[in-house]
Amino acid sequence: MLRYAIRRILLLIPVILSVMVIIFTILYFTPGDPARIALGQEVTQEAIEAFRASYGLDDPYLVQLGRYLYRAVFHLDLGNSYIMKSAVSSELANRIPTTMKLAFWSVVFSTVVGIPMGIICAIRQYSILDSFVTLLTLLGVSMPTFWMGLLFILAFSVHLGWFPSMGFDTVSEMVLPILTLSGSSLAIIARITRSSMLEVIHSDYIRTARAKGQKESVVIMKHALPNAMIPIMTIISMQFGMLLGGSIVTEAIFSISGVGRLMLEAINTRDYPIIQGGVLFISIAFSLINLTVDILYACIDHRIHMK
Amino acid sequence: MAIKSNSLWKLAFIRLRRNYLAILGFIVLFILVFVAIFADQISPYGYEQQDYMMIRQGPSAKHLLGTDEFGRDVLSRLIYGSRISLQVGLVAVAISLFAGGAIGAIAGYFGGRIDNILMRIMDIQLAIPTILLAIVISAALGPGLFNLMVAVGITSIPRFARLMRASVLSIKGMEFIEAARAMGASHTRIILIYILPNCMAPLIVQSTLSVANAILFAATLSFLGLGVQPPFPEWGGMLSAARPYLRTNAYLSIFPGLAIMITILALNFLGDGLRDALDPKQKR
Repeated sequence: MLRYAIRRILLLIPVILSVMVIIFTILYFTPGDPARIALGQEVTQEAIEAFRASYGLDDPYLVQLGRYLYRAVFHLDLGNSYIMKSAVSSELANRIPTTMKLAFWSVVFSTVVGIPMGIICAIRQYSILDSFVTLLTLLGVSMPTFWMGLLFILAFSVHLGWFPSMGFDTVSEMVLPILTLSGSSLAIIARITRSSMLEVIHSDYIRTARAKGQKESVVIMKHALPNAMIPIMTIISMQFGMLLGGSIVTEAIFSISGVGRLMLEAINTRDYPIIQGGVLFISIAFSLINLTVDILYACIDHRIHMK
Repeated sequence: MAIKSNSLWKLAFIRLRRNYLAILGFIVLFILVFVAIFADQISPYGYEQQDYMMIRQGPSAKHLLGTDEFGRDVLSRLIYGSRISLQVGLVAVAISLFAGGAIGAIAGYFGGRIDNILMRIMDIQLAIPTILLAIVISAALGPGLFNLMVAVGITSIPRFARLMRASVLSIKGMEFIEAARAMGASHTRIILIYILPNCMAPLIVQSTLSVANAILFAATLSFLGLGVQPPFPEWGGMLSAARPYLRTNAYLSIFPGLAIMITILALNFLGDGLRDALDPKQKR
C-alpha cells in the first residue's frame, strides 16, 4: 500500500516537470515581444534592452528553460511578473485561497446535491421526478458555464435582487459563483450516480439482501451505495480539475480576484511568468487530487494496486 | 467481413431510429447545417449590416430577435454564427481525431517502448485541465478562426488516442489480423484496412460528443476574448459583447446562449443515441 503511494508520488515529479517545459515552450515561441508590451509603445530602445537583459530574455531557449526549471525546483522561485515586478509566487499565494475556496465549495455543493439526486432517480427509475431531474441534468451539461453565470446574475441579481453579482468575500456574494461553477459538475455527478446505482441495484447480491428481508433504506445505503461509489469518485476527482479550469471563466464573470482572473489579465498583457505560474499551480493541484483519489481507491478496493 | 459489418451498422440504425431523442437531435443538427450552408439566402440582414436608427431595440416584427449595440440584426448574426460554430466543431474534432487516432493506433499496434513513450506524453497533457490548455494555446497562437480550431483540437487528442489504443489492443490479437500478416500485409495496410474499420463505432460516438465539447470550448474562448474576434458573429463572442447591457437589454444575452445550448443538446442527444445504438452492451 505504502509502496504504491510512494511510487505514484514519484511518478508525479516527471509529469509536473514536463508540464513546466511544455508551457514554457509554448509561451517562448509565442510571437510578440513581451518587453515592448510591458513597457508600452513610447519607449526607448535602451529601456527595452535593459528590460530584456534584466529578465534574461536574450539568452538562448535552452538557457532560459534551464534557468526557469532550476530556480523553480531548487529555490521555489517562479520568476517575477513583467508588469507588476513582484514575485510570481507571492502573487499566486495572494490569489490561491480565493480560487481554492471557490473550487472546494463548488465540489462540495455539486457532490452533496448531485449524489442524492442521482440516488433518488435510480430508486424511482422512470418516475416523473426521474424524468424531470434527467432533463435538468441534460440542460446542465449543455449550457456553457459563462451563460449559466449570466442567467443567474439576470435572475437572482438583476430581477430578484437576492444576491450581488460581484465579489467573493461575504456568504451572499459566494452563492452565485458557486452555483455557476458547480452547475455542469452537479449534472454530471447526478448522471453518473444514477447510472452507477442502477447497475448495482439490478445485481444479484442486492436481490439477496432484499430477499432476506433487509429494510430498503439499508439495502440502498449500506449495500448498493458503497459499490456504486468508485465511478462516482472518479468523476468527482475529474470534476475538481474541470472546476479549477472553469474557475477562470467564473472569476471573469463575477470579478473575483483569484488565480483565474490573474491569469486572464496576464494573458492580455503577455505577462508570461504569471501564466506559467498559474498553469503550474492548477496542474499540480489537479494532479494531487487525482493522486489522492487513486490512493483512496487502493485503500478501499484491494484489487486495484495489485496490477 | 463485409456482411458482418453491414449488419452491425444496419442493426445500429434500427436501434437509433427507435430513440426519439436521438432523432430529435439529428433533425435539429440537420436544420442547423442547412441554416449554416444557406445563411446568405435565409438571413434577413447581413451580419455586419448596421442600422444606427435601430440600436439595441428589443425583438420586433422587423428584427425578430432585436438588434445589438451597433444596430445589427441579432437573428442574422446568430444565423451566420452557426457557420463559425459548426466549422470550429468539425475541424477541431477532425484535428483531434486524426492526431489522436494516429497516436493511439501506433501506440496500440506496436506496443512496447513506442506505446510507453506516446502514452506518457498523453498523460502529461492530461495533467493540464483541458480548458486551461485551450486558453494558453489560443493565447499563444493569437486570435482567429483557424487558431481557435487548432487550440480546441489539440486539447482532445489524448482522449482519442486512449480510445483508439484500447480498440486496437482488443483487435490486434485476433486471428484475422494474424492471417493478414501471414499474407504479407504491411503494418500500414493492417492498421488502415483491417483494424480501423473495426474501431469505428467508439470513434463515431466520441467524435459526436467531442463536437459538442469543441463548440462549448470555442464559445468559452471567444467569450474570454481569445477566439474569434468581432465583428465576426461567434456566439460566445456575442455574449461577451452583450455583457455590459445585461441589465438593460437582457435579450442580447439570452438568444446567443440559447443557440449554443440547443446545438450542444442536439449533439449530446445524438451522441448518446449513437452510443446506445452502436454498443448496446454498454450502459449509460
